[in-house]
Amino acid sequence: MVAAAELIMVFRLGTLGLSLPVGAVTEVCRQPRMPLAQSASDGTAGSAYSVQTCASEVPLGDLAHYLGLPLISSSEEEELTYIVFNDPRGAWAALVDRVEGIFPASAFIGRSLPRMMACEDGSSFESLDLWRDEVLVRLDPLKVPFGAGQP
Amino acid sequence: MKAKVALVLLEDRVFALPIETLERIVQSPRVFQLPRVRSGFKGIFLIDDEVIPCIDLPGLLGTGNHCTFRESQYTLVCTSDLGRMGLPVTRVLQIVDVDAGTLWIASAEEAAWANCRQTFEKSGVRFPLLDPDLLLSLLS
Repeated sequence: MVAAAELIMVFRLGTLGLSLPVGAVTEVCRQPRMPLAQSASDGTAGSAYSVQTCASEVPLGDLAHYLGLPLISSSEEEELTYIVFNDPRGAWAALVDRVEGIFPASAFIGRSLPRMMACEDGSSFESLDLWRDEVLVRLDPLKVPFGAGQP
Repeated sequence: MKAKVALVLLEDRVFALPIETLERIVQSPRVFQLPRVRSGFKGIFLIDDEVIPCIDLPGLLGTGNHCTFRESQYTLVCTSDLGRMGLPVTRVLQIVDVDAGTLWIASAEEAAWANCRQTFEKSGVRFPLLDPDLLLSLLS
């Protein structure tokens, strides 16, 4: 059996492919499209809404906005896909377009972002994954400045 | 070996590039856009599993329509102080000996519109000389 640490999840936001270790994921859920619940938090951007997962209600982070991407394009689908992140600050969820699946780490080739492309404020992603002739951004949920614990 | 320059077409303008900075020319690589990177890049592409940054050359040189980037037929893979980088161009016109023309210090006007320090003159026409390191210094 392959350990969770050796498994990588691939998902998409628009045309952007992202990867992250399965250990950083609590749950992937698909839910019928419905109005988002207003969070009980203080209403700061990124966590003003929450989503009901299998286990509990968790704050909804705007991952697409953080990445500087247009709004999620799955607007015509009847069900929406959420990833719930296993974050020490507290679980939080993000709406994604599509989850490609979970694959062994051996299927990926790790690469660093070329130095010349890095933002001077340190906000750039540092790691990339090559997977099936495609470049994926390696997401570290802990670097996303929102989520539970930082509402 | 004699010094040479490549004359390349970028949209409707011709530029010169010293051959010693040119590592290879590839045809229309697949470019992957990345979020949260410095402006001035169109994304990255792969050569032998190596990640190569792709410069937004039309944007940096003010050749106008950034949206025509996908129409670029070739990408010049160049070396710079910060590593390899790709410069998308419309066409590679020819490679000529530097001796067949003259290198000039760019006038203030040329430097302003082409972001260059030198020009290469051949048959009475001056072409801005692309400098990969200078291009990188233009990135914000």
